[in-house]
Parts: sequence; C-alpha cells; structure tokens
Amino acid sequence: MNIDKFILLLMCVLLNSCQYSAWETDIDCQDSYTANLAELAKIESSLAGDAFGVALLADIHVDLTDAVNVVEQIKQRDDVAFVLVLGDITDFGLAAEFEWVCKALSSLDVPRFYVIGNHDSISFGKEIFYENFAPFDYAFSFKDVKFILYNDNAFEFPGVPDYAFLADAAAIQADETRRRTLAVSHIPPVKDVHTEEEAANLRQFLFDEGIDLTLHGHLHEFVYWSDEFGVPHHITGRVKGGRYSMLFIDELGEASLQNCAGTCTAAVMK
Amino acid sequence: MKSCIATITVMFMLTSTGVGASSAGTSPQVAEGERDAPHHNYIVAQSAGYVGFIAVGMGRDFQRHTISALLGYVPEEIGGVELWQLSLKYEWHPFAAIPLDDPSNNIKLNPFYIGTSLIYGRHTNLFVNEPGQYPDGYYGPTALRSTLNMGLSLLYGKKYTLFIEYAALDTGVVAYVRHPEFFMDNYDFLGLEGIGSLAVGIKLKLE
Repeated sequence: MNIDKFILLLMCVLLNSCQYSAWETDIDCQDSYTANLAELAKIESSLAGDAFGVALLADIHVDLTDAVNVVEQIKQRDDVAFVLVLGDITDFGLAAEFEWVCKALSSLDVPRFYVIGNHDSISFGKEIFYENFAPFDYAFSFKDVKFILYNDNAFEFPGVPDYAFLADAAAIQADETRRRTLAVSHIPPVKDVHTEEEAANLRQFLFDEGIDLTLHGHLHEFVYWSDEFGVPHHITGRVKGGRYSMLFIDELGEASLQNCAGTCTAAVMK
Repeated sequence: MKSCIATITVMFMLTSTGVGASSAGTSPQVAEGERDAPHHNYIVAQSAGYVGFIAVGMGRDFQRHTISALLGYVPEEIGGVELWQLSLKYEWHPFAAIPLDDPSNNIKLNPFYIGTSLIYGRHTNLFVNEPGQYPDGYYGPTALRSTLNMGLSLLYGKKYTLFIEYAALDTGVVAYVRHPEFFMDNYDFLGLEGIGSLAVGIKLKLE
C-alpha cells in the first residue's frame, strides 16, 4: 500500500465526520414534540390522581455540564411528569449547539417540550428548531391543565406573539374540562423586546383570555411577581450553576413553584 | 455529522491521477529544507472543514507560513441551506518536509501544520452588523466564524500537495475546554468528533 493511500485510509477511519459549513442545518439528534406528546399521553394515563410536577429549564446557552447536572437532579426525583425547556438553548443558533444540548437532555426519561428563544432564532436556528424540536406555537393538555407554548421573540419574528393562536388555545371547548391554563414563552410580558405599551397590552390580553400563570426564561434570574391584573409570572433562572424550577399542580388544580439551586425552596412572589 | 468518506475518496482519486503525472521522469530526492525556498503562489481546492462542500482559491507560501483565500459553496441538498462562503486561512508549518523512503515516487511528508481560518458566510439570515431592530451589541456578527486547524500534507514532486486537516469550530473549542467530559461521553475520538470536521484538499504550485 502506498503511503498516501495509507494515510487517507487512516484518516477516514479516525475521523469519519465532515462539516461543510458552520451554518448547516442538519443535526444528529432530534427531540420532536410529536414524539414527546405521544410519550406524555402514556404518562397521563398511567399517573394516578390529578397532581403532577413539571421541571422548568431555562437559558441553557450551551452550558452543557450544568445541563447534564440538572438532568441528573431531575432524574433523582419521582415527581416530574415532563420538562419545559424555556428557550435559549444555544448562543448562536448553530446546528452544532442544538445538537450538543439535545444530547445533554436526551438522557431524561420524561418528555421535553421546548419554546424557542431569541438566541435560538438567529442564523438558521429557526429552521433547525422547527425541524427538530417543536413548532413556534403549540399547545397541549395534561391532567386538564392546558399548556400554551408560544413565540414572543419579537426582534427575530416581527409581529409575534400570535394573538389568534393564543386566543384559540386558551378557549375552553364545550366538552372540555379545564383546571388551569398556563402560558409559556421565552420572554416575559415586560418591556424588553416589546415596548411598555405592547407588553401591557399582552398582559391585559393574557388576563382576558383566562391565563392563570405564565412561565418564562430570558432574564437569567429567578423572579416571581403578579402583574396589575393579578396574573402571576414566573421566571426560571439560567441553568448555569445547576439551576431549575419546579411547577406543582395539586389535586385541586392549585399551582405552586419552587426554585432549585442545589436545594429547592418555595418561589416567593415579589 | 455527515460522513465524508465519499468526498475523500473522490479527492484521493483526483490526487492519484496527479501523482501518476508527476512521477514520470521523476528527479532524485529533493533535500530537506526545500520548504525554505523562495515564496510560491498556488491554487487550492478543499472540501469540508467548514469552508464549503467545495472551495477553491489561491494562496501564497512565505517560507513556513501560508496564507490563502477560498471561495466556498454549499448546495442546499448537502447543507440544508444554500451558502456561499469566503474563507481566509493561515497555516504555520514548523517542520521541513521529510522525504519518504520511496525515491521513485518523490513524495515528501510535511507531518504537521497548525493554522486558523476566518469564515464569512453570505446569506440573508446572517449579518456582520446588527439589523436596526437590535440595541447596540445585542449580538455579535452571525456571519463570521473561525476555526482552529491542524493537519498534514503530502508533497508530490514540486507542484502538487495533498493535505488532510482537522478543523475545530470556534464555539466548539470554547465548549470543549469548558465541558470536556460531556464531549468525551457523547462523541468519539476524545470528543473531537463533536466540535470539528475533517477536511481534504489539494494545492497546485504555480511558477
């Protein structure tokens, strides 16, 4: 064998992966919401009673060690029905970043549902997120609690949120039993990507549509407050440092929250 | 991550054709240190390593340093999006080329080089300067990325060079330094598979 053929064969064996561009859109890990919804249906039918817990992860920003740390903490618990991933899993919206975080969360043995964050929406992140994780707006019910996951990244998606979608998802159908209605997005309804007037209009709208609680990330800190209409809003801190939150819905449909950073303590409303 | 075995095979076949052409009437072994000869211009073609499905360009040797510019293209069928890219590459070759014990083929091995690439991606989704809706400094340029490269090359005669390179993406290098265990647990080859790409290319020396 000539030396050139040997070296090429050796390199082919050693490294059989090629990337043609940093901005490719294929990733080697998928966490589609349809698969997770199917899994959630099995959990719902096997879970006795109406009480359940939901783990909330926010702003992973490719903090992979911390994400794995939180995954291990969640796996130690026996009260998590599913996980909400509250956006900004990447820094630059690159396929490699989506793949890494997907792999970091893949060992969770409960379903995961993602909302897109602003960082996830740059470069070709919109396409990658939509193809591999979830639509930008979708909703599902679990134990008669409606979860409405919506996109409010207004810098990257002009015109969001989709008020028609929110209204339709929040509406209680004639044959439906609804205990609570929760709205979930990356960015809270405050002056940030929205003007103060737009944010106030959104808070009014959420109240008018019967939203009981909203869950968000983006601010990188645990925050919990009630707005001028009495709707509570909770922010989960960034996953860095092993942080996450827990949402509990009890048998009566009452919601409570814990913030976890090593230990879990009750979220205190400002 | 895509397999590039087919790409490498094609490049190897093209290179082998060049080897056959250059071996005819081969001169005796060139002494070590030929790399220290005066500067040379060259044409370069490369596949993968983040510069494109196919990238072509020109470069210039400055003794142990080389600089090149490549225009790369990624078809939508390959990359998921159609992309044009411009890459500027720098390489440092610390070692002189080593004649291999195969006089009839006149092959020399340059066992190691290290370098970096700055890559500009041209697409409406990408920007260097933030669009107007963002406050200043909200994001850095999304159209620019860089890689750290290392490789080896085979010199055939006086004109042809085949190089094989590993390119690590900038965000991957940072992530690997911060989270080595994650990459080693999830990817092969000490986790390097998860942050980088193989590349292969050929150079044709001009003059």
